Parts: sequence; structure tokens; C-alpha cells
Amino acid sequence: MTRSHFAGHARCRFAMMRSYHRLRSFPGFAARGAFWMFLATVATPGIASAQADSASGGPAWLPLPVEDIDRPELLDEPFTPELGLVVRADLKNGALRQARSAAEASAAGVIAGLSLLAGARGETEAVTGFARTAQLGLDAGRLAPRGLSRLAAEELGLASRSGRVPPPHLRGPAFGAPVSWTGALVDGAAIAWRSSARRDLWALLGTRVEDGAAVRALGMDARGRRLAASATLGCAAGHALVDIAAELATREGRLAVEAARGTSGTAVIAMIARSAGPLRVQGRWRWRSRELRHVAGEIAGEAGSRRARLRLRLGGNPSGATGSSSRAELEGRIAPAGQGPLSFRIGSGRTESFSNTAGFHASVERYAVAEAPVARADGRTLTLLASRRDRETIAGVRRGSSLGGRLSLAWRERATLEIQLEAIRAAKDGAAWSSGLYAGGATALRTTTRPGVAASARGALKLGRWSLGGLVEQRDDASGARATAASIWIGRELRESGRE
Amino acid sequence: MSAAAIRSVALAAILAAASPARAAFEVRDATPAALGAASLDLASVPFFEPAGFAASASHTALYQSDGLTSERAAIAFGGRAACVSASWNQLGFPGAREHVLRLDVGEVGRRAVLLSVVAERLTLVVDGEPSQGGFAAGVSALAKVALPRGSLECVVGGDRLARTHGLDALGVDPSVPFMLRLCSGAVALAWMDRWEASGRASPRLVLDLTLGRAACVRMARGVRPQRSGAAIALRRGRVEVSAGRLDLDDGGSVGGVALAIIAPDDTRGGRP
Repeated sequence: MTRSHFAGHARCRFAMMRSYHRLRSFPGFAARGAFWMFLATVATPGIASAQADSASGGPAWLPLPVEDIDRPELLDEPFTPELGLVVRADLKNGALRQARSAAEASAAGVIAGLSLLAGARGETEAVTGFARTAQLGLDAGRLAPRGLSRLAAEELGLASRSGRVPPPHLRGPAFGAPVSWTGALVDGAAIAWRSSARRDLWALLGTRVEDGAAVRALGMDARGRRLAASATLGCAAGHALVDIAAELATREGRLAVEAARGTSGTAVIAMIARSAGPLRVQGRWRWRSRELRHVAGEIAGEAGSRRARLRLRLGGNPSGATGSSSRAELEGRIAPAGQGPLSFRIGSGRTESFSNTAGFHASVERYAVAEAPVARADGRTLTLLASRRDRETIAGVRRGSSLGGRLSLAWRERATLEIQLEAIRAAKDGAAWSSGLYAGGATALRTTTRPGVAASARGALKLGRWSLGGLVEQRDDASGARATAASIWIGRELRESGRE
Repeated sequence: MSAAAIRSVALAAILAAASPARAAFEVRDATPAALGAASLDLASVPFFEPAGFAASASHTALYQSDGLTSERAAIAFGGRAACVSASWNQLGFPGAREHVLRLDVGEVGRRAVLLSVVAERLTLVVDGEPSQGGFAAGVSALAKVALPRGSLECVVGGDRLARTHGLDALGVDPSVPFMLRLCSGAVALAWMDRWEASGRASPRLVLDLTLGRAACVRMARGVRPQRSGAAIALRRGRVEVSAGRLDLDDGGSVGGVALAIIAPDDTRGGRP
């Protein structure tokens, strides 16, 4: 299979909602639907959308808070590998609007495709096209940068400044079609060249959608059996950037260093990871030259057997000129014989800040999340969900909690249905978590500050090469307000399952 | 304010003053089985394992208020794969009454996870005024886990999740009922709760003690509000008689009796 030069790369932190320029109007929903249905008949192999990887230190045992997920925009994207066609539509306030459509086809060793993304009011937000061969790839239009080095993305204005310490990044980025109109986007073109000797070269030329600033970047990466290196040169709004990373990987561990110099000074990230017997450890350290307190760090350890494992994470970083933020978290997974795994996470975070107007402010948050499958048989699983958050400030302690269940039904690997019910309690000014189902198949924790009852269902049906799916959510809160939202999607695989 | 609204408010106020029920249609079940579980706001768990055909009727007097009563009639049929029950319930005082028609279809058998669906028609009738109401529907899942010397049952539901607009004005909200029930021989201990959209919860602990196949005693203690429940059911042949009482710590009591005719079928499974 020919794969994209830009596909399947590492994470890029989510930048909060930005304003976007509207593109010119595009024909209505029916016309676009008919167009994509036509393309479905000629669709051929292509890119696999990247599933949202929500784990910061490995596969997550429990849903992560949305704010901790590196690429939350991917949560809404139906993920089926090798989709030649995907059409997603959202239902809100009784109106069905096309959200995203993409199709691709190939001829003579060249794969070409087009993607269309609509905004909240149905207007066209992004049009992206691509063409690629086995070695060369070209993307043009409105592009979403993914997998760009964290430090480089911050300097280029394509990611918000992160408090967390990301791992050094050594793989080339992907500049593909956006799946959501949130996040940093670029209007322009990207080209990539991949040699058979595991060397990649890429370039980006465009303008940031957010503010119209010119962005240019050029990079390369090379990987050997044990050594890897990458370099990025860039310029955004007239400010230059240099980013270099290197990695030494062995069977037992990994040592990586990344350094970047740009308009915000010099930044260095170092990471060491090693496993020995049942123990795995990882440490990350970041230094920023122009911050008053230069250093932030995170360490994590994991130990245990297949039946029971524990993870401990400790991290902290300066926040602003005088503030700081730290977190300690313990995750566990216990899998009794013949039973589903009981997973839990307990943690505590502390945030401090000081300003001349508000003075010193400190808050401590303690939380616990648990999931326990009660019964699993005949394609049916019932899982209990519970969470609790306590936020302590000088004003007192505010509590929030949630309790619910998730019923999963599966029929012969052809159809799946998940129904989730959850009741939420939150004191005034308190916050609680509720588990949210997403169209992409993931579950993440959403923060809510009002009591209520949330119900959601997600289903998928596979008919040959076609797949149909839907997601419905309803929430009733204490004020009596009821909100309902839904998404449906249709996809067509490029090949029958199991065929090369 | 119209007379209908005044009477609706009066009905809700009476219930609010004395029970966990604070809005229209909050009382779901006032049979002795529910009173014994201190659970007016949850559908009751039958005293005995249901199987075959059953028809029942009950009468309940609430809070020593003149005319404030609840009557219920129900029929149920348990097949090999599913159990279907239909009930009619009225609650209120002369001049203002709630009527609830309820149809419950649930799976039965030995599967680890059993599903059920409930549809309700809720109507508030006030003399001289047009009736108000609508339809509601909910779902629930029951999981059974076999333990070395007993079993654990877990129920999670979504009550009145789907509603027609007519019920919004009556304050009918969804809720999430839970139950964890540990059974061993003739004894069962259940923790039950119902979390509402308002954030209110009313947990309770329910003890069931079965005396052979002829009698069952149920006692419960609930908090928010503090309350106690007790009930007894006697079965002889095809007849089952039960009586129950719910007392609130700060005053007020609810008492009821029920009579059921049962055509047992021991070859069929049942949903607890």
C-alpha cells in the first residue's frame, strides 16, 4: 500500500478556538453529497486518518480529560483505516449540516484526493487537495499541521505554549486536511519527499489562518537502526527558527534531546526512558532561556504484572511570571482472571499564581476516576463509571462527582452500539467530569459545572465496503435546559476487509 | 394563575413537603414492594421472582391527607426470552390526579447482561381543565455476576430520558437509577440510588429476607430525606398479599396494601 508522506505522525498540541476566514460559498448539502457519492464509485487506497492518541506516557487506561489530549480535534473524526470516502454530517437544533467530506482515487501510481470541511453554520471552512506517489507528496489548500515538533510549532505560532513537557520529536510532520475547524491551520502548500533509506525531506509555504502571518518551514529527518536525527528551519512573521533533535534508542531504553532557537529564546528538551524487568521509567526535562524560572520536569514510573499494574507520574512547570502548576497522579489497572479490568486514577494538582491586583492565589484539585466492567458476555458489556473532583481554594472546597454506566453491544464484528448514561453532581463553582463519547471511537472526560443527566449513544454498522455510523448526545441540566446533538457518517473502504 | 395550575402546585407541594417526590410524576411506585424499599421514586423490585402470568392491584394512602391516595393495577407476563408488564397508576386527591400508563419490556434468562425498555404515558388531570402530559421512555441494563456463594446484580438505567415537550412544563426530568444487589440464598442486600438532573440523590439500603416460598420481608433505610420502610408479602397458592409502610423521620407516613393473582411457571427464568 502506498502511504502518505504526511500520515501517522506524532502529536501537536491543540490550540484553542481561533477565528477563521471564510472561503467562498460552496454548493449545498445535497449537491456535495451527490458529488461524493459519485466519487465513491472510483475511490481507491489512500491515507489512514490518525486516531487521537490521548496518552501522554503510553496507551491510556482510562479516558483522559479533553484538555490533556494533544489533538482533540481528531476525537470527532470517524477512524477507519483506508477510507476512500468519508462523509460526516452534524445535526444541531434540528438541522442536518455536512461537516466533512473526503474522497480519493488513484491512477498510474498517483493517488489524489480532495477534502472539504464545513463550519458550524454550514459555510465552507477548508478545502484541501493532495497528490502523491510512492516517494513524493503534495498537499495544498487549508492545511492542518500534525506531528510538527512541539518546540518548532510554538515558535511558528502553530501551537499554544505548553506547560507540559513533551517528548523530543524526530519524525517529519504531516500537513493534511483539517478534520475540525478548531486548531491552528495554514493556507498554503506542503511538499514531502521520502527516500527508501528512511530519510524524509519536507517543506511548507503558507500563511497562518489565524492572523495571516507568513509561515515558511523546511525540515529533514533520518533514521538508522539506533540513531535518529531531525532538523527544522523555519520563519514565521519574520522571525527565524532552528530546531535540531537527536535520539539514541536501544532495546532497553531511549535517550533523546531536542533544542530550538527562535524569537522566544532557546529551549531544550531532554528525555530518558528505560525498562528493566517489570519496571519502566521515563523522565523529561525542559529548559527555556527567557523564562524567569527556566526548568520544568516530569517523571513517570510503571511497574507490575499483567494482572495488576501501577503507574505514577509527577510533573510540574512554571506558569507565567510568578505562577506554577504541578500534578501527581497514580493510575492502576487490576484484571482478575475471567473479569474485565478495573481501572482507576487518583491524582492531585496544585496551581499557584500572584498578581498585584488579586494577590496570591492557590488552588488544590484532587480527583479520582474509575471504570469497572461488571459483566461481559455474548457481545455485551456493562461498565460502571464514577468520578469525583474536589477543588479547594481560600473560598472553600467545591465538589463535583459523576456516576453512570456504559453498555456496549457488538454483533459479529459487523455492528457495534454503545449507550452511556451518566448523572452529574456539581456544587456551585465546582466542576465535575462526565465521560463523552466521540465520533472517532474514543471516550474523553469533559468538564462540566452544572448538575445534570447525560445520555449518549454511538453506533456503527458495516455492510461490505460501506460503513455507516452515528452518534447522539442529550444532556439535561439543573436549569431544565435540554441540549441534543448528533453526527452521522458514511464511509467506504478501499478494499474488502482482509484483502491486500 | 389558573385553577389547574393552582391545583397542580398544591399536589406537588403536598408531595414535596412529605416525600422525596418534588415534582409531578415523581412517585413512580407506591405499592408495598416500593414502600418496603423506601423507594417511592423507583420502580419496585418484586418480592418473589416473577414468572408466568401475574395480575395485581394495590391501594396506598399518603401522608394521612384526606383523599391523597394512589391506586395501581398491573399485569405481567414472563416468557422464555422476555417479560412484558403493563400498569396503570393514579395518584392525587379529588380534583387533581396524575395518571401513568406504563409498558415495560425486558429480557429475561441467563445472559450476563439483560436489557429493558420502558414507555410511559403521563397525564395530569385537573377537574374543569384540559389535561396535560406526554410520553416518556427509558432504558436500563441489568448485569449478573456469579459469586462463589451467591450473585451480584447491577442495574443502571436512564429513566424518562426521552420525553415529549408536554412534560417539560410539568417539570418531568430524566434521572439515572442505580442498584447493586448482593444475593445469597434467602437473603439479599441492595444499595439503590437515583441521581437526578438537579443533582439530588436519595440513597437507600434495602434488605430482603425470604422465608421459604411463602413469605418475604423487606426493610429499608434511606437518607435525604431520612426514612424507613418495611413490608411483608405472603403467598399461598396463586394468591399473594402484601402490605408495606414508609415513615419519614420528620413526620409523615405512607401505607399500602396489594393483592396479586399469580399463575406460576417454574420452567421460565425471571428478571429480578
